[in-house]
Amino acid sequence: MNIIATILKDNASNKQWLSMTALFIGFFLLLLSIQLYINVSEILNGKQQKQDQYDYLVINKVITNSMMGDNSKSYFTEGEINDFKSIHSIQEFAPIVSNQFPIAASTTGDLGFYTQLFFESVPENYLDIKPFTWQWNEGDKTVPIILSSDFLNLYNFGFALSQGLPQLSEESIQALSFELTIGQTTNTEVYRAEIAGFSQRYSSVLVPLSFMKYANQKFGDNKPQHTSRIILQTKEADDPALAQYLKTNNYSTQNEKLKMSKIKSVVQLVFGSVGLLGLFVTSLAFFLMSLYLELKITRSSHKLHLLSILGYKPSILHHHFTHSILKSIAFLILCSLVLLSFIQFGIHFLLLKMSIESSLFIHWITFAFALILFFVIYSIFKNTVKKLIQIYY
Amino acid sequence: MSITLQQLNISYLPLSESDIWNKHVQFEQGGHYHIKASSGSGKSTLIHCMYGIQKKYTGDILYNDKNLSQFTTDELCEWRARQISVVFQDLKLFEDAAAFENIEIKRQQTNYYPTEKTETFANQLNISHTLKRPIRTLSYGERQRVAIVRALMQPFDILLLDEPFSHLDNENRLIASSLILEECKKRNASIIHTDLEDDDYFPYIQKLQL
Repeated sequence: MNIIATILKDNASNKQWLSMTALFIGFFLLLLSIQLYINVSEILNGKQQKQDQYDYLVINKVITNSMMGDNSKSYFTEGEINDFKSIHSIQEFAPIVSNQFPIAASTTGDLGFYTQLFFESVPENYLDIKPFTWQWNEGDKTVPIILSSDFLNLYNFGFALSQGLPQLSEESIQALSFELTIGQTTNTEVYRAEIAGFSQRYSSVLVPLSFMKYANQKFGDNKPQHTSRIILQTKEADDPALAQYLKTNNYSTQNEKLKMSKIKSVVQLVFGSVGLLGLFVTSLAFFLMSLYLELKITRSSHKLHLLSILGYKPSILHHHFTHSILKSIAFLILCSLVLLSFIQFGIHFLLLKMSIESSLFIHWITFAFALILFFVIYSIFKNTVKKLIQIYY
Repeated sequence: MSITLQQLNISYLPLSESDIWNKHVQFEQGGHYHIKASSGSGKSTLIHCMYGIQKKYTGDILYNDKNLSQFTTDELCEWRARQISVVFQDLKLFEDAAAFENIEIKRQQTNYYPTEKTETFANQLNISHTLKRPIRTLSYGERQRVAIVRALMQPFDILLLDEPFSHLDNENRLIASSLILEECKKRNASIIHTDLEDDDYFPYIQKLQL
């Protein structure tokens, strides 16, 4: 026989179920909002299909009419570059280096052509392909080049078809080489250029950074190097904060990668609202339960006073009240998780019909949050009881 | 074990000739003491002070040389559970709980006696028929005997009795006092008995006037 429970038994009308129901609804809404947010994030991010850990965004300033005629307006200032460090979702970034010298490419034979050209360079770890020939040391007469695969597509499906010219595969292009004439008037050098690969990330003509630095120094106009394009490495290209930052500063980038951020923003807003509602209901229920607890202890006031006189330690009386709270909260959170599990099963099979992959079980973050919620609420109740019991000693 | 009162005084009590207030009094282990006092002279206040409930007094109360006012909450609880027991004048029973539960709440605190002892003591004091009844349905005399059984359900060095037989007839007074005396002998405990009149229920070594 638990004599303390028998003595402290409260026969007065019991309204605890009301606060317990409210607390259950609050817990459930909170956990539901978290689980749904995780579900949607996983679907939008398409984790399974993602090959690279990071996304890369090439950004530049939007060229407006007022900027025309003054190239310097498209350059990023030192302050603007440093400002990228303040964006949480940007892991790293690097300027895209342009050539400061004239380049002419030419070849002879059936495919003979002559064209002015431009180069750009990025650090090697920002490339989406890593050809084994991708290196250049001073003295090398061959320069590897990475072309944008967009250029090849433009030729094959635009130019070649309309002009009746043969379409070219990536391999056939890579077998070709042509001459590069670098520099102006008397200060020129001739190199052999080879196509090392095709990039889907950059709409540009890329050469190794070592070559670019050498050539800019040797053939450049000795003007300071400016940055007009920057490559950003990010874990979340769909981060709404990043999209907002780029929009605010009038920066342009591949819009495709950012469109998800808009959907994500809406989803964040919807589930954020559900979460807030859950938080509100939980707080209200928590307040109700605190009042109930206070009432229960106050109603037992005389008995608690007698127990203290008989030599019952405060810790024994705390334990009596907190133990029942502990069981109630644990039971409510468990019920919320069980209900959520059923809902998650339902969502999984519903999405499967639409050919969308989603998890069959609740995410571990939801479990962790439930555990944190349990400890936080239990600790607050425990402290409340401690203060209320202390009055009788 | 000893309990010592050093210049103990309560500001609101009327000034009168007393063997206790503002005096040095020592109660020795195993000794039985009678404190006679008229109504309103502070009998219950003295018991409350010695039990650590009444804390507003001047002077000191020492238990084995340790000042009662320096006991922590847990020490005070432990002391009440194992060193000192009491029968209050107002009994301090749980009115809605059964007589058995009122005794059990004390017994389970230390498990000094097995639960069967409750029945034994109740039989001795002629209250076994009341054990299952709520306290509020019992007469004051029956309640007093429940409070006496409760007080005997724990280990103690000192037993404080505040008019414990006031609502008992002579026969029941004798039965109760002999049970108390027997239990105190087992524990070699002191008895400090306050009452309105002189009595010879216990072999007192000292009789004091409050």
